[in-house]
Amino acid sequence: MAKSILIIDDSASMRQVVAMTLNNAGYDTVEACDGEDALGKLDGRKFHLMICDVNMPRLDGLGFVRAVKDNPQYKFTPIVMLTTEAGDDKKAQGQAVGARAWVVKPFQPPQLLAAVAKLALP
Amino acid sequence: MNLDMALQTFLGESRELLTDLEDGLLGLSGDAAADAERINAIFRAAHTIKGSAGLFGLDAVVAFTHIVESVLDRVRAGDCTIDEALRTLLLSCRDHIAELIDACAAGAPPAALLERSAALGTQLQSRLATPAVVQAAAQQIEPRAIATTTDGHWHVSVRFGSEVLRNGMDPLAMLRYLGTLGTIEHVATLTDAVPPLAELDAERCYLGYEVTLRSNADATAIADAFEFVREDSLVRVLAPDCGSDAYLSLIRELPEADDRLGAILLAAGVLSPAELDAGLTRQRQLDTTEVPGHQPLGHILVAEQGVSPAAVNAALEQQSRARGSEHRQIRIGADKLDELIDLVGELVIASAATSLRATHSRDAELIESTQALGALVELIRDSALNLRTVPIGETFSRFRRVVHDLSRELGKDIELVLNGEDTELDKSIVERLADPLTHLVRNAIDHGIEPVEARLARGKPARGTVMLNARHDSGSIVIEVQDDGNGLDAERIAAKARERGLLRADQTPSEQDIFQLIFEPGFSTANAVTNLSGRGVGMDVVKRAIEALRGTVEMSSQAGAGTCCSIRLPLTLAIIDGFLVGVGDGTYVIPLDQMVECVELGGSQASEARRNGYINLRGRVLPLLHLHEHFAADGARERRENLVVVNHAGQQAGLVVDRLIGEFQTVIKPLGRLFAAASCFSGATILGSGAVALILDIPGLLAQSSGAGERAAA
Amino acid sequence: MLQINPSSDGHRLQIAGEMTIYHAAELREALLAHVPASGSLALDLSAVDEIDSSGVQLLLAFERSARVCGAGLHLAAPSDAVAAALCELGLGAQFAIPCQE
Repeated sequence: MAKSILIIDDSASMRQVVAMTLNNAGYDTVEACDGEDALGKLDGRKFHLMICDVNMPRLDGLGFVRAVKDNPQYKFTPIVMLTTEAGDDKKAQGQAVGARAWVVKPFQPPQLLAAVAKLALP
Repeated sequence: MNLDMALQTFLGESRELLTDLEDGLLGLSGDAAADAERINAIFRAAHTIKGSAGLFGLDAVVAFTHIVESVLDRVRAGDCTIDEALRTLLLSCRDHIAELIDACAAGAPPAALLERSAALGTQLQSRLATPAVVQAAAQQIEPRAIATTTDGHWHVSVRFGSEVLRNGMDPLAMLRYLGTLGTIEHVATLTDAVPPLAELDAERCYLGYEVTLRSNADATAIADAFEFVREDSLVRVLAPDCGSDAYLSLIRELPEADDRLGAILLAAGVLSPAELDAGLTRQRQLDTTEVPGHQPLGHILVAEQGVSPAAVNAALEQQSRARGSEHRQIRIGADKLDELIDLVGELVIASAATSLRATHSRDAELIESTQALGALVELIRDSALNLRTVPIGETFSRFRRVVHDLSRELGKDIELVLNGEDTELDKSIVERLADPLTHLVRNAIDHGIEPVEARLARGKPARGTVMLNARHDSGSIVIEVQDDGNGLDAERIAAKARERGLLRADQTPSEQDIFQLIFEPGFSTANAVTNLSGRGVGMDVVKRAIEALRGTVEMSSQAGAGTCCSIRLPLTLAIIDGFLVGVGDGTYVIPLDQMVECVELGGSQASEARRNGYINLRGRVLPLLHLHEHFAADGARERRENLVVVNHAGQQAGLVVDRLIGEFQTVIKPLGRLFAAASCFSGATILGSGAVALILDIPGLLAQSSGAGERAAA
Repeated sequence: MLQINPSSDGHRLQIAGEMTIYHAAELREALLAHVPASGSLALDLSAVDEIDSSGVQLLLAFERSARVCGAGLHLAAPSDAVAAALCELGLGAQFAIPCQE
């Protein structure tokens, strides 16, 4: 069974390209447009990995990570955070709540795929 | 879903975001609380556009939006306020981003637009504390140092931090990822730190591993397999050629007992017992607490741990393979070697003649002993030829400097990637290959790889790649010079060829055939004659050099995506396995590796074949060449003819011959200058009977055959 | 999903489901109750469909505990997932699992 990945980003084009890249590599994907939406989509479903933008309206990336780490069913799910080089302080805050995998924007699809593969090969 | 659809989404989305950005800028009121939210929205708009544009490779958008984002980040942090001047500037930037996105999505942004990026960028810079960020953006366009990669045995040593598992990271997953970078040859997992169950914290990580990885990735790529755990784990990557000292210092750094680690490294084959022993002894001498009665570790392993001496020897052998630095070598003169090869060639012929005589004698014992002799002669032939083979890697690595110097000279950023450097071929071929390869590599750099701006505009990475590949392919060696540059422009080549009279106005050859035209003498499409490849030496020289080696050369290309020049060479120049056929009174040799099958041609089939010039072989049209007529041979034609199907570089044809004689190993004697014009023969050989047989040059013959076919069709 | 089924004679223990970090703490608790005091315990892993490093660690710790007590542990019919993980980590020999070189 293909591994399942939750993609959380407020940019539709970013979600589309990320999903397309991952689908082509053999992963299943579910998309959410921000942290709130993502929490709603968890719904007891198993995710092998989550890819989460930092800067989002409503519930941002850090808020989402905090929520996930408090949820026993998802607290060990690896999360790849998408950030910009301008976000060093965000990264420090994220590290503190347990988000260890960071990919710096802008990235090309192969870079994201490599980051994902380090945590779970398809 | 495809990339184009996603790009449409991005265009729509960026328009909305730019509207948000504009509304945000115009809505700034001076009320701190309300403005903070607006500034956040403005920043997020720029941030999102930059991130998505990067995904689509719209680098000009990324570079410019990056500067805007940096200024907005300072505003957000309170280090800078949006006054009227900055607001006006940011609004112009917003309009400029819109234009850039449209231009980039449509293809290459015009130079004027990029100039405007630079002008606005300079104005934005004054709002930044340090110009460092701008430099970082500009850096993407500057040529970077040349990186070359080679295949080798890496040693990777990792001790995972205790929180790794809790953070969702899995050492096993990282090991599997490492395996995608090459071949994992040995893994030893360090389990010493795992406590009994009662003391175990099941979510804590206690593991580490020592891995031998054969890979042509670079050190960064390998270390990056562990980038997400680097901060709290111990990761060491030792490069293939590092000396034993590096391993010994690794042993010192790691937490486990020296002897334990030493044994692991020994098993992985990266250290020899002697090196390990010497290193550990030296270490102990440096330590103040020297162990009395210390035995060499290699001995201890053999004596106490039940490791057989053979295992230690095997480890030693593996070690020399793994590090591959200390081959024992003897230098001898090339002429001595040539003499030996020549004699072996004569030996092969003499052996073949003896075996022929023995077969005729019907003396079973004699036949048996000549067969045994023949088998030995074959082995001697192979190892003699092997003496003269060298890996192509040495020749390949010469090009590092060429690529480095040329890319600097031209202001391009180019990476050289080498593949199959272990591929061995005849030294005499290697030597004569250096010049044509140099020409092709220079061509790829000079004409193939575009200038950085053009690459970025096309959405390609700024850094171009030139690849040198070598591999064995059914009795041949294939060497490729590949680039991810411009590609060939078939129309321009055809136009040029017509101009030069190489192509008639009414001829419309396939794209593949058009590419081959650049090998015609005097052909050059370079707009500007640079001081590199345009030195009056054209691709025709390359082609002639390759053909002199009994090889062929072919171009393939995809416009805008790159070009690949593929050279196909015989394994050796000296000896081939051939198939003897009779045509009239003469005997000819067909190289065995180019033969597909033999088919008998019956009476009616034969006359039909003669009439049409082709036959239908199992539903496939096979063009024919009647050698009896082609060579205007003496002697009567046989009633029943035979068809030999030959293959070269994917093209098949049938040679109609009078008799099939059988397999024959033969030494190639070069033809004299007299025969230089006879492109259908590649050499001659002397048969056991003393008669001379000509060796058929299949590519040459096929070219003649297709020429004949075209004439027949016209 | 994780299930632990001891046989009635206490010589065999079956683990079924996921031996992953999500269930590591739970599995440790359960295994603690089954550390053999003597003889040899067969650990049936044929129904383990997923295992990660935490699961491997648990096997190592379980084996260590058994050894401390002077008892033994052997893996009976490890599933493909278990065999692959142990072989990839170079731990095949330690658990007497045949690995392809």
